[in-house]
Amino acid sequence: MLKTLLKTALTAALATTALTGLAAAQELKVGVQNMAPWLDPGRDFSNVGSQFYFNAFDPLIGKDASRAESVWQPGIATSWKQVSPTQIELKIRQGVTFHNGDPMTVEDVVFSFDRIINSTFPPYTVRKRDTLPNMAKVEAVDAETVRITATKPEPLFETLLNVQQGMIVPKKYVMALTGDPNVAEPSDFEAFALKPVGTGPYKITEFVPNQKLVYERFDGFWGEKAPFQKVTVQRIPELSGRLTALKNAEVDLITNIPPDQLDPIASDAKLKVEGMQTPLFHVVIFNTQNPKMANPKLRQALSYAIDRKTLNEALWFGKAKVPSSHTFAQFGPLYMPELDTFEYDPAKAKALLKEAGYDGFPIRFDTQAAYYTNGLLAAQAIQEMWGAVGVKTQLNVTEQWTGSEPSMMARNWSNPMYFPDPAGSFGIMWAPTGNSASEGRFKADEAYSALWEKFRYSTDLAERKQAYAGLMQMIKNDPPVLPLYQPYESYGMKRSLAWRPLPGHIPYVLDFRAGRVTLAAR
Amino acid sequence: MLEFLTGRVLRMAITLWAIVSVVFLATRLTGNPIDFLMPEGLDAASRREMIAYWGLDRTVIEQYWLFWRSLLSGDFGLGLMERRPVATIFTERLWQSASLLVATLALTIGVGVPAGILAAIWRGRPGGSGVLFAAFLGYAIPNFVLAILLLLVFSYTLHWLPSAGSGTLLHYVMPTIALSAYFVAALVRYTRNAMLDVLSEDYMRTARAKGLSERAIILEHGLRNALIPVITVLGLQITTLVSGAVVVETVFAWNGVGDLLVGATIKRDYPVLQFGVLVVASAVILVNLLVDLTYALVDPRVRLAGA
Repeated sequence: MLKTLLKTALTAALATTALTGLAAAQELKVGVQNMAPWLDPGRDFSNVGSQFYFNAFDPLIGKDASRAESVWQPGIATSWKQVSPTQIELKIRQGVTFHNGDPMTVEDVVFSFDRIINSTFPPYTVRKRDTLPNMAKVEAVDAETVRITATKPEPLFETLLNVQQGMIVPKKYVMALTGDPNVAEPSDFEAFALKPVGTGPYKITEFVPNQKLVYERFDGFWGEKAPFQKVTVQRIPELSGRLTALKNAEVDLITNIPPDQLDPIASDAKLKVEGMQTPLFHVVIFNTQNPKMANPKLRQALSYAIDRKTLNEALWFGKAKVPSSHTFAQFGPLYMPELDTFEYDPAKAKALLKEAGYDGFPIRFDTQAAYYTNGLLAAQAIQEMWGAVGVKTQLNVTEQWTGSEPSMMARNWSNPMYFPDPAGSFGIMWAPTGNSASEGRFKADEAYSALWEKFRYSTDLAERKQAYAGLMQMIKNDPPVLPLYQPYESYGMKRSLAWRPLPGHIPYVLDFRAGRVTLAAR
Repeated sequence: MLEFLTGRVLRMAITLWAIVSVVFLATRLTGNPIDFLMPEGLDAASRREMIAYWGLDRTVIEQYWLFWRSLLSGDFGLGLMERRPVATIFTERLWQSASLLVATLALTIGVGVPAGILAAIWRGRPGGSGVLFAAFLGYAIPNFVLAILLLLVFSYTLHWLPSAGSGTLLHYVMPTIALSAYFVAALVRYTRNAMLDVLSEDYMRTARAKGLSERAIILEHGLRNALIPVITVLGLQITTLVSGAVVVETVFAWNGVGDLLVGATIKRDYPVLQFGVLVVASAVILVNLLVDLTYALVDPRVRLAGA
């Protein structure tokens, strides 16, 4: 009797396990549209590369990825204290090991930042300029403490020590890759980008540039162990190829599915779609320095004439998000949806055109054919919308970036969120020394520059907020940019896979760490 | 013969030089890799530094000189995108493309020649028309349409075959069929025509008169003679095959040379592109040379004309 009872209980337990899928699969297979040509978090800024770093590398300061606003967590640093407006000291976690077996020390932390902020390697210099321009010095105080010094007062220490570019890499390993093992040569950095080593929960065991990436669980990881023994990421460039591979169970997850292709996945009982409004804007930019575009009223009119809500409904099935200002939910206290920087008002557009004395000359609108999802369709719709208020548009479909050409008048672009602060999205592109200014299509006047300084470096949050609102008002009065929408980024996957993109990451991160993903074995 | 050979090799070298030079100049005149590798734009100072780091701040003439100098010393440079030696990038992908090419040739010959013979023997009968109609279809359908159709039927719907990558033998089935269809069709028609010509020759009647079996007549006397023009055509088609592979490679996520060259062209990855063009052009020229040499060995008239 007892035996029967036990047997029944055991069978029931086994059945339950099987039904709830507690037996987790050991391997995850992913099909991506693009594979990176090299992998080094420090020099990378691209949408393609940023998919892959978080699984294999750790930042100094961690962050709760499940929440949009920034909630800092211990990472490689276990605790930190801002000792002055320009200095922060961090206690470095002990007992952390790199994938190659080297123990991680404060030396590695210093090296990781130093290679960028005192760069002698052009690809790092680029990142120093756009992401860490305020960082002046990094030094080891003792075997457990690192001190980082900024040039100006820095309100964003935590934010900047969480960025992908500041993920920790092994000093000894990098320096020994080529040439003199005690010197970091450019060829060392180039070699590292092909054989990357970090401290994250997965080690990269195979990387074929532009083709394939294989992660394996790193048993020496300092935190919770990775849920998969192996994750294989394969490039499948064609959408039809990715859809087929998913349907055919060759892969468990696929990326980059345009909004009009969701049906074949959603209608399959074995598959599902997950998606998110990505913290990135597709934008229209104007060349304020082109004499033909110099009148702010003309650019205001062009902005007012674009019906972004209709674009969203027609091109994104209403799933994208039309912003009222250059602001993301990820900014936390600096998220300001209450601002009305960008609006649709065709009547006002017509009036402004008259005031500007627009005489019907054609506006050249540049766009790449396939770079942005729906980019060309949006451009064609904008051409119609401008036509409706009496503006002639000449669509110019090019293959390349025309943003630095003096003859550029208007074109599409994107403004991604590189780190969760207005300085990390709007700032990268529209600071007085930002990308747009240095490419010559935007020029900040004195008032704008002064307000920018206040916004960027004030350590008083209320003051920063007020200054940003002021900057937005200036953008409204003399617009160089119009954010169209935050695109809705979709992923297709097996129904048995529990994974979704998380709002606490920068765009496109594929997070396969513990607690972020499970795949039932059947 | 030596004179003939020297002439041909010289011509080959000039052709190579011309092709590589045109590619070198044309890709530099139509854009800068920085605009393609960093499409989100870059501040002016960084832009200058990256261009200098890649050695693209030198004048075109200087770059051209350096290119030939390092090429002749056996250094093919680093790819701008992957930052690896271009020779490594190519070898990695070459065997993938080559294995697909071999599979395609095998299928093309294995199906094309027998089907062509049958079409000739069954001339005027329903079987012959059937073969010709199938060949007509294979000739008419673009390989990317066929590739997508195959995907739809055998992977998407029936789940019989893997669709992406090149891991197993099964991965070869669909790309090989998609690539072969056109060439099988071409070969069927050439073989049929050549066979028909041969079948009406006097020596065939003689063979029949000798009392040989029909099988021996067709295989021993007919096919052997018919194959000569067929092989010539096949040699010419190999070059077409290389370009046809580009689209098929993309659809089946096949990491081959075609895929690499298209990417390098779009991104203006000069070192990869130049090396790629050099390799492909050399291969084509070499095949042509071999064909010429074979002719010269077979037919003395060609040898005289070449000199």
